[in-house]
Amino acid sequence: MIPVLRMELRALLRERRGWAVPTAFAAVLAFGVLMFVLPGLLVGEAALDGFLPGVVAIVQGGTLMVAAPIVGAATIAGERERGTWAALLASPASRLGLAAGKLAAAWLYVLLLVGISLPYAVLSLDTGGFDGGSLFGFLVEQALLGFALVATGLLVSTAFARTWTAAVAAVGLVGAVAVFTGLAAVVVGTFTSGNLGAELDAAGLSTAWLVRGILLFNPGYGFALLLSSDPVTGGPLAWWLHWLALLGVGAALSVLAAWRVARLRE
Amino acid sequence: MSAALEIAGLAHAFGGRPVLAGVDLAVPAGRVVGLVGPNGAGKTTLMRAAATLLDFHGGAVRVGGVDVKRDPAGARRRIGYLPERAGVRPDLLAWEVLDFFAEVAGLAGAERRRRVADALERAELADRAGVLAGRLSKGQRQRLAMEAALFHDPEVLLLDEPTDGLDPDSREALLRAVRARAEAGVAVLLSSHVLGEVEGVADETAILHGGRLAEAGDGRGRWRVVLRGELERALAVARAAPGVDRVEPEPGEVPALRLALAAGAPDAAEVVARLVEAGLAVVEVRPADGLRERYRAVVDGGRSA
Repeated sequence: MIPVLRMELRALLRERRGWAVPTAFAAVLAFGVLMFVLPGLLVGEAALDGFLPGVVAIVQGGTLMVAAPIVGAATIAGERERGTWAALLASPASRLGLAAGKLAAAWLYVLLLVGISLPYAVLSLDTGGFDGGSLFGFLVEQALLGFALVATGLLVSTAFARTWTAAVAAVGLVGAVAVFTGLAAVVVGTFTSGNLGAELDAAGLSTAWLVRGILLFNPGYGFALLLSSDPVTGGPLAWWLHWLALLGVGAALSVLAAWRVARLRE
Repeated sequence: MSAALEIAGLAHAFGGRPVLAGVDLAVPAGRVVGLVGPNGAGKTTLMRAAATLLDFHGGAVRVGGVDVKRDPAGARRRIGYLPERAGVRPDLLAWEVLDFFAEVAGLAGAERRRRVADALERAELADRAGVLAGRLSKGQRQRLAMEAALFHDPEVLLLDEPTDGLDPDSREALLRAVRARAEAGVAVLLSSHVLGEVEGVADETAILHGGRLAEAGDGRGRWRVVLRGELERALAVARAAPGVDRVEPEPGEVPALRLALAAGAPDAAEVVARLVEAGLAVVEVRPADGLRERYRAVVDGGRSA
């Protein structure tokens, strides 16, 4: 795993594209802070509340949901596109090491993206709004979401020979999961006013918990938890459950991707 | 002694169309076997099967006695594979490419640094070590890829059209490196479209046509020696000459010999010198029934074995 990880990081951090994403991300965050937050601070307005972390969270979450699957999708599809995959597969490198190294490198890169927002998160503690616990919960959630999204990209990558088709497929899959779980939660939520809702309640199944259970797998659920003022829905248990869901999805997809890589011939 | 690479009854089909139809081939240690054939003959498919990159339908491939289907990881430790397109990442420096494969081969510390430096020297890239592999010439990338495939000291080297698109100098440098590896004891299977280069580097050649091994034989070619007479004495002298594998009288009215030289013999000069020393009149010496002629005969459907 280590040789592959080192090779991937060397290549990622040398490529212009590798630096372009973090740089653009940092620039967008800085722009947001300069345009919307600093003027308010300078005139002494205390009504900024959650505006700064809100801007940061939205920009970061959006970037992550697009960048992480793309980075994962580029791993194997990129090798195939360059014509370097066959030599790698025929080398004595272990297949598990190949999959794990590529996954780890892509995840570290995504963590770098998450890390870029850290100064803003610290700054936001000073401007009011979200408490430290919520920000911590969101940052951990972003790291685990990055893991799950990178694993999605890696799995998708095993089936493609072109980086961009793999990237589009991976981002599309993530978008589809977000839409599907969101719609499913809405549909299940409407049961509360119907007969089925009453039947579920009678059976001891709360539709509110079903909705929450579906949303745990939604890549945008971190925003809802961060913005929630409800101590139950936005509390530590909700964060823990969401973290576990993301970790479980990421681990399952990683195992699946490793299994695929072990069986790949080319 | 069994060959380092043994292919027995290898068969594969793509979409119901047979690409390999029962190929038998053996590459002993220290020998270069040249694999030639027209496009679509199955050369790359055969290479991929030997490199554990193809789930072939029938037959068996053994590398150093290890069955590639039963133990692909074990087989991969015994093969070095250079695919048709140079398998080096363009976004890594030349030394980083080698360093990666050296680390994968289990080398570490000073030993790894030394082996990487040696490989750069052999690839004639010592002064280009810090250049991105993508900025190297195709020949340099091919040499880099070949060195990268050798860190784990493979018993078998599979080279799929390694000189394709190279300029003459790069081609010669790569073929010299191939020959050097064979002399170091590695079994080399080399596929190419360029018959002359195969004949120049290979100890044996195999002609693949229509998924079948149409002919396997001496890649050094054969020689035809026309004499003024005394055919029987000429046969005896030629048989006693060094570097001769077989000598036969050529049927026909003109007294002539057909020589098949042993591996390593460059040409028929030594035999001709012995004939002349023995007082025999040599009228003409030329390559006869070389790879080109055999290839044409096979591909044009003249004969197949």
